Amino acid sequence: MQWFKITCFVFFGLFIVLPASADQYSIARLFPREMESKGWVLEEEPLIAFDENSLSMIINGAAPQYIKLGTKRAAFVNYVKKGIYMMLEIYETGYNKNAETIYKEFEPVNSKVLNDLGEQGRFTSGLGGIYMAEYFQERFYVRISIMQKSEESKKAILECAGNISDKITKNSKP
Amino acid sequence: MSKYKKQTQEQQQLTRRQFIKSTAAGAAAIYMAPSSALGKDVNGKDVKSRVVIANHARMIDSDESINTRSARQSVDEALLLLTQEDSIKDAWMQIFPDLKTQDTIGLKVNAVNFRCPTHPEVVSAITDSMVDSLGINPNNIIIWDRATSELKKAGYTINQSQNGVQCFGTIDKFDFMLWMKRQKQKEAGIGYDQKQINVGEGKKSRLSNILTQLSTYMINVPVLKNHQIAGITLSLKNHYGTIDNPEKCHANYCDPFVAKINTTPQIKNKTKLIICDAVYGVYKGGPGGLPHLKYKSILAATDPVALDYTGMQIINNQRKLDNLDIVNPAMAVHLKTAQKMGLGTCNPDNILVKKSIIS
Repeated sequence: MQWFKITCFVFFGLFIVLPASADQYSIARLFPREMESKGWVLEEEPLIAFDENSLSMIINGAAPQYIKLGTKRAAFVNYVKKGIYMMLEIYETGYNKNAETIYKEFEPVNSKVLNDLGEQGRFTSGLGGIYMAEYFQERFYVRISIMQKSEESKKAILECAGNISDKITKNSKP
Repeated sequence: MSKYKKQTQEQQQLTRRQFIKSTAAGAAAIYMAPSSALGKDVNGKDVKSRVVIANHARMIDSDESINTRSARQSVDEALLLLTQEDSIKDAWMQIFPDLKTQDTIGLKVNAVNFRCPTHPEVVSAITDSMVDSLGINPNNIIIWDRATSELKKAGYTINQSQNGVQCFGTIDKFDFMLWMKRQKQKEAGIGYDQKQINVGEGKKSRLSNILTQLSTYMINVPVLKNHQIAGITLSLKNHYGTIDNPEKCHANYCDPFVAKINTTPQIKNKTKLIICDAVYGVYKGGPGGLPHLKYKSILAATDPVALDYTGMQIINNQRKLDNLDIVNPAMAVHLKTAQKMGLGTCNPDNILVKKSIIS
């Protein structure tokens, strides 16, 4: 009887835990590893938040709003090249509509439409020397920021955004 | 004449020449000694809390970087206005009257939003002013926030050596595996104090060892931002980066947690000054997101509640210009709770705002 209980526990435990963890880390398949061959170095291990508590750990008070708008998981990846940081955020929602809602909720001032990025994309030249590219595609809202304004950095975030977009498309194919 | 003395005098002359406008809001100018940072004078009598705003027309260069010289002038001007002293040295000595050679001053910055952090240029202006004027050993100054990784992203140069101003986080970086296993105490870095503090509603937190173990005094250096839960995030809420579990303290508009954390003696007694970086600001979509506001100013006070209330008015003015609702006072309830807990005042009748515009 004891063995039966242990077997049941292990079986159901695996049934519950394995898909959850596999799902949890599927977002990692979207990381633009190609950037590493262009000299961008991963600053630290990417962080993947999977609920409000873990998201709050990373982005503090902004977390509840993302959860309210349907975020299920979020990944944060930091690249650095010659002292310039490029920060990548991928928010995975339950439904395509949620990703669009987040995109619209956080609309910056004076952004320009990017026609060939995701379902809708935009580029913002922000105050304080920041470029930001954002888009939504399927159930993902993607935001990339770079802390330097130059033609090179603009090219880098657009390339990074394109790489992720390609991966979203590739992963959605049956 | 020593190099230091000459430099200070030059700075004063420069500041005075450029000081073209000074306005006082409030019925009467009543001086509040910084040593009585919380709305009371040395005799325990209630006085107006002074909040100063030093605005600099040339704070931001054409490439949107912060002009270091203007930042320094603004910090010094804010200190002179706040303390009503004639020299920067006297101003700092009024802030830290009992400073000893071995004392360490911690500057708690805010680097959580890398798009609009406490800017390193502003923090350098503060540390340079202290070193030049007080003659403090730079190594006795620690610039800190919760994670070294966040400080790096915000543009800070990490320094844990025995030379120069120190800069590092309470933890090196977040470690989700340890967090999930409830083993945060094993995170790399100087870590959090073993002693827990009560932060309200039965919740307990631990304070950064940088505050409890390494700092004799503290300067709170927040950023001007609105906040989707707490209404605003300035000096009081900046201490969510001081505790080990901010994610547990966002219920009920962060109330009473924000105020309760600030009543902790290590925070309340060690904090001698608040200098808010309002060069850029986030008045919508905060605390994350891009800065939308070029306010080009440094705010300073010794009363955190009065400074935060004043910051909220700045945010509200900008929101009105953008046809947005003002910050819901029900969300910024932590200001009233902080006032009730004796941390300062959010009653505009008890706040004296002085503004200086440097051309």
